[in-house]
Amino acid sequence: MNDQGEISDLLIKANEGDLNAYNKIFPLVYNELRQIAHRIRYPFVGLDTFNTTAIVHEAYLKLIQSEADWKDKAHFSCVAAKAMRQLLLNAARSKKTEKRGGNFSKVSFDDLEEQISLSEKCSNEILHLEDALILLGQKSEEQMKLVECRFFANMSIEETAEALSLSTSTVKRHWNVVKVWLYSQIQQQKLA
Amino acid sequence: MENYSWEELSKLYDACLSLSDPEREIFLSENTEGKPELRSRIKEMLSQTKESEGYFKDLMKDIAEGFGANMPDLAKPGDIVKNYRIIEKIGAGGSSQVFVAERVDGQFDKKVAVKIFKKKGLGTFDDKSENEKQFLASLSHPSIAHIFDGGTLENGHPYIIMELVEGKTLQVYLKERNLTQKECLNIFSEVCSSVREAHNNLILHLDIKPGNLVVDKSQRIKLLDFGISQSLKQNMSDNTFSKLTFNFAAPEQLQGRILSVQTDIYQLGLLLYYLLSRGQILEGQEQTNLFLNGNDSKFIPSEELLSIIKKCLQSKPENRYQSVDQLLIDIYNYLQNYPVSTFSKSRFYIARKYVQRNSVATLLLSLVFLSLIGGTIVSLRQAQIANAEKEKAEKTAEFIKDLFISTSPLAEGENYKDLSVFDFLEIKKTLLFNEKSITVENKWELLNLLFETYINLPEADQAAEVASNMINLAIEEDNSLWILMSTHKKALAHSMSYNFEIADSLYNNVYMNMGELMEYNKQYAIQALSDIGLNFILQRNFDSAEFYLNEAISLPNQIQEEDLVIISTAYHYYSQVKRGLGEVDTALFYATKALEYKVQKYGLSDLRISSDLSDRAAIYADMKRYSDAEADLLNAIKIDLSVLDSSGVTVVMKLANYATLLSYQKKYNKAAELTEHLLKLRKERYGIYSFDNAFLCLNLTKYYSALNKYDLVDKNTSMGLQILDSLKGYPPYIKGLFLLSKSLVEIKGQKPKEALNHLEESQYLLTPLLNTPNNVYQEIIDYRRGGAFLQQGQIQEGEELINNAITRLKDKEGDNDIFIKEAEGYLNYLKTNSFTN
Repeated sequence: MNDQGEISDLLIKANEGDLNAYNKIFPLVYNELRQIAHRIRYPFVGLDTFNTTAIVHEAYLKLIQSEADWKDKAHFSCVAAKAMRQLLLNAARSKKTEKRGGNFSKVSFDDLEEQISLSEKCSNEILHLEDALILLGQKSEEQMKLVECRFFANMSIEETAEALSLSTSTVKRHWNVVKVWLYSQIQQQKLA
Repeated sequence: MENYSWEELSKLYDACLSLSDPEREIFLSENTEGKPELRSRIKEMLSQTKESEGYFKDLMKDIAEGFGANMPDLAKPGDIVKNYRIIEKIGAGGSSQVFVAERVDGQFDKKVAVKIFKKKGLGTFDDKSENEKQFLASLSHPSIAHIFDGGTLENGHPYIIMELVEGKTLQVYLKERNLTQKECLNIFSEVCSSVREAHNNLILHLDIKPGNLVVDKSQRIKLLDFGISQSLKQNMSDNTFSKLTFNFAAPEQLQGRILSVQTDIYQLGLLLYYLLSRGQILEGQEQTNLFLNGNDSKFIPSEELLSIIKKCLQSKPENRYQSVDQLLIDIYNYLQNYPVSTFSKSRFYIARKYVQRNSVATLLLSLVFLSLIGGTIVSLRQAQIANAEKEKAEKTAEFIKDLFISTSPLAEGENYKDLSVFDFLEIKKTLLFNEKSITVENKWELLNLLFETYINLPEADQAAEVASNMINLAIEEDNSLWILMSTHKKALAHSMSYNFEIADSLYNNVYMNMGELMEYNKQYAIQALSDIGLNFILQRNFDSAEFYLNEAISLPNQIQEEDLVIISTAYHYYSQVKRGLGEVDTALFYATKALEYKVQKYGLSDLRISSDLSDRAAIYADMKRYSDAEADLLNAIKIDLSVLDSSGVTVVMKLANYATLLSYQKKYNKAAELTEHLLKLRKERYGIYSFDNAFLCLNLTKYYSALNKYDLVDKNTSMGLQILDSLKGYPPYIKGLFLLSKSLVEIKGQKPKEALNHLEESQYLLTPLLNTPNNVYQEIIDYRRGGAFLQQGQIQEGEELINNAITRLKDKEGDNDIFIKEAEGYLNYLKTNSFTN
């Protein structure tokens, strides 16, 4: 795992669509994000506004030396964005399970503190969003990736553009459309 | 699945955005025929634009809260902590909650702040020895919120009790006030000085951020929260990330590496950035992104400040400022319009130093003891403009004054703002060429001066260009003497940048016309001959050098007062030639003579005698008179340091020589340690790619060979070769020496074939050194070749080569034990290996 070259290599391949490489690198990134998320505490006032970029950034520093090529970062971001989506989905799902009484293990206060505890409302929304995203992915994989970067990894327009090799104006335009589409899709799902 | 594609939907929706409602109706019905689903979806979307925006924002906030998991209050009003009663909660951060409290006994009516940490078992006050608590409590600075006490609550949460600062956070303050840049920098200096105070007390802050800075009622900035400070004495390596706020955490904090003074410096850099943008940047911003897209630097009004910030934000701690003091000095310098150390790869800095000591218009490149034989490469050339040129002084005064103005706080006029000395020289040159009113003679003199300025900086390439301009002017004026003089200058510039081929042929022209020079000015002729001698010393062609220098020193019939310096330079060079030829006694005689002349002229502590001293040290070292060598060398360093910067090439090279002196006395570890330190210093200040760094690497390969640390020999060999590759010119034998080191690594790594190739190339490149007396390069090449042969199974040839080399090594003068040992090692290798084969 410490082999920087190998990680970079896998990231590049994964982004070129190599499923094998993707399957190798994803758990690595996911695990790192999860570990970081589990011990993170952010205040929400003023400057200290939390965003998931912080976690992605830290994972990046962990997995890839900060001196690495800037391109690596773009490759990494795509995978990390997907991993972040998975991470939140899992957190949302575990919230649901917990509510249904699935969580039997004794949880002390300190243990709880170590977890991402999404509110019920938030969990529901994430599950809805996931369904809508799957549908979106069927229509356009690129748009789905865009949502992963822009929303789940909380990347800026510029960063998203860099990660997906698109122009910033394209990202801006797409994000405008896809946001509304997802919202309307979610509203429809809720009605159904 | 719907019967429309994403592209269709996206295109139509986009188009609708720029249309009015009625237009949309028409547009949609025209373009969605047969696709009612698509039409209704788009219409729906158009009506939900606003809601969707809010939806994602809220969701993001919910997620953020999920990560932050709200925490119940850690104390409630009325609770007693130590001698204080909690009154109320006044704030909460990512890692802690803050309460205001009052004395239980009512002794003082002063209120305090009690900060309780969420995480149990943090290394706060509890883990600290009484001693360290004392440190924290004694931290006294007007800008540091005083810490009174600390401990752990019954429920296990650590706390500290500190001065209650009432005021506004920096964030709010910046928003309310329209601070000038100077006010921002003053705030920053205040913070720096409080952090420096903490560092002086061996305390790191590690959490410097706007949220921890409060402007109190008397408008004083206060740094709060030494909550996660650790003692400097224990190098903290535990991962404190969760205690930190992302935005201001340094890379080593995120990575859980060792934290240091440089961690605080990183955060100070971010704070400076934050201040200069008046709090506009860094919100949710990634640090690594900061300067990448350029638009972030729009907040930073000057290149100097940007360079200061960048130096603070280096990802490797060792590349940042080494102390808050250094950072503060740069800030003060900026405030006073002085050049800043980090700016433009320190050319500015060198130039400034040059100006500061313009009466000593020399930057002497001192010699370096070469690896392995202690031969020297001599960069002996002294700029002779300082001597006997008083009549020029007045003319040059104005020029120098201009030079001053360009870097001085008194600089007037926008034209000189943000101008480096180099830009200035460029402008000056252009002006010179376009100036009609200036007489040709003055033009010539000023170009002369420009040339000397460049060669002393030392910027040989630029100097060569000026020399070319001079040649053109000389040709235009059809002045044969000028042509000669400018040719001499051009040759000198090429020689100084190791372009010997060009230098040789130019000097050849000069020498052919030496008669004319002699007629013009005997002193100038001596100088030219000395420079030709120097050119050959640099190539280690001592025979040729001796020839020219002999002529130089025999020119004056009797030495006049004004000849002293010129002659002493010739003597100085001559002594190095004699040293190169192994005639150390003669060398010492002339070195001492040269030194006497210069001391007579300049006194005992003048910069101009320092290179004479250190070069004489080299001769003493050859004679194994180490204490004499050390005395001369240290004296030279002392003189240098009174004028020059300690990380400048002049001082560093002398210290490198000192290391070599240590190695002569078999103190290899110490030598390596000192040299590594110098290399680090040079890298930090000036980057890796410079000739002097190659020398340091070369010396390191020698020390590490002696210490049998072949991996480090390998490392420094590769680095050295890489540096050489990046240079425009260098003496070829330097590469030969590196390849010789490489062959050692290869033999130790059982790669005889590669070793043989490199030994062959090395032999070729080392040709000039092989002709010098008492060198053992041929022997080294031979026994290593022998070693490689043995590894290849060519036993007889190998043994012959090695034994022969050992015999010759024993015959030669000098201390060759180390080489004999290595050679014998190869023979042993045969014995041990022959059993297994």
